[in-house]
Amino acid sequence: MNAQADTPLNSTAVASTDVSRRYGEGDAAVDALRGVTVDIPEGQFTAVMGPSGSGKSTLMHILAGLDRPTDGSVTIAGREITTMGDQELTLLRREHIGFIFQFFNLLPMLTAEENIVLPLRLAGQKVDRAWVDEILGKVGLDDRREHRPAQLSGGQQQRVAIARALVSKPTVMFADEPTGNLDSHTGEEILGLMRESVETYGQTTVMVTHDSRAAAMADRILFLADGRIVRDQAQTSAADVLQAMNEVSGQ
Amino acid sequence: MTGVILRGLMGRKLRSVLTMLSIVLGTAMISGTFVVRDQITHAFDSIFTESNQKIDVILTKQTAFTSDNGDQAGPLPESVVDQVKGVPGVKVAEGQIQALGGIVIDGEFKGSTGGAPNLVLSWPSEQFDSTTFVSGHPPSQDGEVVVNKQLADDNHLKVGQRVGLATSVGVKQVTLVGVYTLGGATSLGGATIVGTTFHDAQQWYDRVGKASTVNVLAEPGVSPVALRDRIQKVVGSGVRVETGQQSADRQTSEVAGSINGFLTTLLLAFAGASVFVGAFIIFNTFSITVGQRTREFAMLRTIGASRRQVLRAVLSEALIVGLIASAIGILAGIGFAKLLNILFDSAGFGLPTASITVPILWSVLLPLAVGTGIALLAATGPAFRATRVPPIAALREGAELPQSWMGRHALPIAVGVTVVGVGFIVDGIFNKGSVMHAATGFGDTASTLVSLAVGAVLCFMAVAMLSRYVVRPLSAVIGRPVEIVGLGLQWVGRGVSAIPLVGRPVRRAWYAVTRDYVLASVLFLVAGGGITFLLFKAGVVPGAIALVIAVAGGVLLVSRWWKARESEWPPEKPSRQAGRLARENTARNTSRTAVTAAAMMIGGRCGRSFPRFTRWA
Repeated sequence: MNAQADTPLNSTAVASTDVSRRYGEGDAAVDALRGVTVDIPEGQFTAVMGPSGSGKSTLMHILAGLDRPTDGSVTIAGREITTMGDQELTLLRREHIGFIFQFFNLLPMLTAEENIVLPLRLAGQKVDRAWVDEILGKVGLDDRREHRPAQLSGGQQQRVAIARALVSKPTVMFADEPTGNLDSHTGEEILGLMRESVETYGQTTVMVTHDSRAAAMADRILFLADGRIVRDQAQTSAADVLQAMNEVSGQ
Repeated sequence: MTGVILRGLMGRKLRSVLTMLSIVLGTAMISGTFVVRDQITHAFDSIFTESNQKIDVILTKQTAFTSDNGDQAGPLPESVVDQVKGVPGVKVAEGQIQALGGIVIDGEFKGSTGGAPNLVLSWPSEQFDSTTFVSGHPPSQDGEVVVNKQLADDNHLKVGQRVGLATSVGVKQVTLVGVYTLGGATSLGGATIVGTTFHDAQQWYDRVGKASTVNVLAEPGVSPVALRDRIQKVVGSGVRVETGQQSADRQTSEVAGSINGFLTTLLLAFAGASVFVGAFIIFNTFSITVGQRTREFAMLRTIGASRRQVLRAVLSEALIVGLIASAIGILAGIGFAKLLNILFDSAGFGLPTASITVPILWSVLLPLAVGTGIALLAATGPAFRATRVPPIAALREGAELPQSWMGRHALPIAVGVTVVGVGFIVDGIFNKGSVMHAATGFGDTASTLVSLAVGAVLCFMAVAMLSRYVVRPLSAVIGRPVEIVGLGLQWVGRGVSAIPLVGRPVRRAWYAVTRDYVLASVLFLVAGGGITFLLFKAGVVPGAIALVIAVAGGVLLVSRWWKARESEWPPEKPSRQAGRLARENTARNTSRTAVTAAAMMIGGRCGRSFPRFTRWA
């Protein structure tokens, strides 16, 4: 059904090697990341957790090419991105990266469907109607395609955002606290949807969250503290995640 | 992408309209000015062509029909008439007198009020006469006069009535025997023209033995040009000899030129001021919009928009704003020309009403290019700023653009601009522009005007730049009483749960912002009014420019306030934190609720713009 589902699991979507990031200089310098090496295989749903200030957001920004590491290298689909210029990064984003934000970030003047196909429009690509219809059905917005964001609930808006991230079939989809602005019930629905896109389309996903129930939906959970990966663990229950978090925070 | 931009603009209707307003005004003035100019030229052209229709060759000493109210053309000796009669090919040659004078009724001179000339002509014989008599007949005996229709209408003059005629030898009592019109024109540009007999005119206007012009009719088959050259040889170089058409063309350009010169300058000065203010407002609006839309641009970048696409999106918005505003302006300008006709009519400066024609180049293409060009130019800076929004801003709370060089040095720049601007104004008012004169070599009047205009423009810019430093302290002082009333209203409002939104903290934040900007706008208008008054004492043109600038400044501040208000509730980013905090506070301390909410919202939203909001709230 989908090409990505057939690719072998061991091929790498995103990898970082010994990445560090320092903000500021001299005495005021802060080390947000201190040598993070991580390998995210295709088709994996990875959650990044950690207390505030642990560097989880910085890690995601750097993996997504939004921020540059002070040291180390990052590859997406085998290409080194830390040395890319603005135009190259733009092309990389069009082809390889999808984003889901905490605050949805939809354009208020566009309908749900127009928001979804916007990345294709920006890239000047032809819109594959069948594919758009399929993901619209997948996120359950078939009957809402002509609605504006203001006419949609928070959960529905986030579904639009997920569809928008999926539409270009990116190598990796980054999600930044996707449930942070939703009530717990809606949040669960959204996580279910993300899980489904991983199952159905083999969509590689990296999610930053501080919600242990969200992390429990992932295949793998990376715990960060003080700019280092302190724990790298396979899927587990929300209670275990919570316990792990407490241990990590206590360190 | 255009559809997206259009809908974005539609989503910000009020802002877009405010942005367009002064561009509309400016282009309307440019367009209208040239319509009126064209119209005046056409009208005079038709008057002069009409009145010279039956004259093949005309002889004058010098400019005969000037709108100068100085001395009339130097007369020719009457002997020239006989000289001309001797030239082969001349059928008729007739002297005519032109002088300054007009009708007097009950000791009161009934002339034009708008500066158009009041003329007395000796009436030509029938073969030269191209007027049409509405009533009565041409003057045939001494003591008889005729007047143009508008003069008769304005003063309710009837044929057969005795009236006075102002002459160089005092007021003469004469009989009105006819009322005439010239061609299709109802008005002669406000001019009055009284016709007398040749003999009377010679006697009364110190022209005995003289003639102002000699009108010549050619024999059939003799071309006016050939006859002109023949006559020129006979009379010598002291006399200007022209064909009727030549003379009409020259008079048209002289009269229309002098009226248009004044009118065009005045109106284009207005237009210039409007367009300048328009550029400023667009720059300002786009700067603010780009700032507010940081997250939107960042989001577009993360989902694959290139810098060039962001640049294009912002510039397209400006282009659309410019095009729509210019188009509206051009249409308005044509209406404005109509309005000007009415205005000038009621001011007694009746423009000859030829039908309105629209010169495509000057009234359509020029304002379109100016309006659109200015909009694009003004938006270029903000557009480039939008391209520098880092994609990461989409994920960071309260991300802000790096401050521009201008932003970091706004205060010293604004102070510098103020000093220079005030300098120009002082030079203009108290120094008659002598500094400007020394620097540019312009004439006295031009130097004064240019000094004042440059000064006003610079002061306006300075005020706009300084507004953000001035608004807060000013409202701290004057805002108190308003704030107390406002809080009182909110307290009442909370009781009236039927009023939607009144009880919500968001609404209260809005009161605070509203108060600041309304106050600032009022203050700006008062200050602007003062400057305007001063400048009006210096002259109409700089006064008018200052007025436009002051009003536009007020609009600018009000629109800023509106934007600040808008930003209080971005529908896609609800600030739950602010809401919760405000609700908790409501329970404890009702009077501080609004303030806390406002500080939270503004602090969280606008970052640096209101850092010390709570201090005086």
